Amino acid sequence: MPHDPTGPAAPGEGADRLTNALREVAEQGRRPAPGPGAAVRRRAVLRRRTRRAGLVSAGLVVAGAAVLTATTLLDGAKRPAPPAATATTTAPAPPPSPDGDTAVDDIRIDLSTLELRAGGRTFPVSAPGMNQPFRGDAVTRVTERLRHARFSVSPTGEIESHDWVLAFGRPEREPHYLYGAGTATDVPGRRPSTLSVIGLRTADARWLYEHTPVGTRITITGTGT
Amino acid sequence: MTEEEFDAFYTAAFPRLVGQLYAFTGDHGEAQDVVQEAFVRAWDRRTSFDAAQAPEAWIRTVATRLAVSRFRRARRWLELVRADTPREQVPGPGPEHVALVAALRELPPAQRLAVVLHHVCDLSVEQIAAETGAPAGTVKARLARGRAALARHLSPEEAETMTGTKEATHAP
Repeated sequence: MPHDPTGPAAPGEGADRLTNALREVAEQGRRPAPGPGAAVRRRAVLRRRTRRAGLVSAGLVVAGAAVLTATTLLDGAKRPAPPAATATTTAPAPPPSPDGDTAVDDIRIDLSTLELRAGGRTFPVSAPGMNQPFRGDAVTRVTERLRHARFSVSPTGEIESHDWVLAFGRPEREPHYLYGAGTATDVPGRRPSTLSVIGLRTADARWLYEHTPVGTRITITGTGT
Repeated sequence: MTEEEFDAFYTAAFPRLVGQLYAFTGDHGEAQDVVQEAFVRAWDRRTSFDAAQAPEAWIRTVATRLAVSRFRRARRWLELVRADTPREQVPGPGPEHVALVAALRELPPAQRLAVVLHHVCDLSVEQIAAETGAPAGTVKARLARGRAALARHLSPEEAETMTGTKEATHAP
């Protein structure tokens, strides 16, 4: 009678012989444990510690990357504070805008009308009434921001102190200055000056100083007389 | 399972499991490696191991899966290295069983496992189904095919003796 191979256990002697043969194979394949169970446990504990250390290291790397990314983003959003009050302090970075206005990127000075336009605002100015340092249209850039500066603008050579000063001009030439005229009542107006200075009212000069970064373009038009 | 219980279980079960895995893999070194690794994983994952109803079955399941994984990796590597890989001569424990071990190695892993679990470990179809995660009907089919394949690899006399099947092509 043919054997039915679909049964889970081949009936009769055949199955017993296969079982016996396989069990003999398994019996001959037995080997004693290579060491005590404690060695197995130690290896498992070491593996777990290594895995946890790897997870901690990976977590630290991820955390460090997150901190670095956040720091980079925050640094990019910050604006540097205005320069200290020295005559030679230069603040190349854009000034902060305490009132939330955007930085000035273009200044236009009309010497005919004695007006300065910047950041959507118009300020009266005083221009030098002698020597006519500004001849024709001139395009230049702000080269320096000085919170406080001392220079002589008077024909008498008297040293004056001025606040909220913006120096501008070409590198190879003497700079020109925008500055706060203090309590001078000649803004707008013309005043005798040996330097190429353009005066603004103190509050206006301060606003312009606080909103104008180095490199801002200045266009001067009109005549000084 | 306490540390003492684990150590005792390891000492008692290791030889038996290695024998079973040797029947499965046909390689002594491989059998010892996978069983040892299975015990390490058992202690490493004690929660899962302790939750198992049959600790020895847990070890055997992990060990056989490791063996299958290693076999597949080795076979892929050999296929990459050489197109025609000569079949390894399995160092059987005795000449009378060399053919059987070699024939076992020719079986697909699923059939081989079913045959070993049933004939060596004395597990029922239901127990094999639970241990392997396969349906009972699939286990039955694997057992049947495994036995038939063994019959094809062995000599007619050995096949008839060991599997109880007779080659249909043999003329009476």
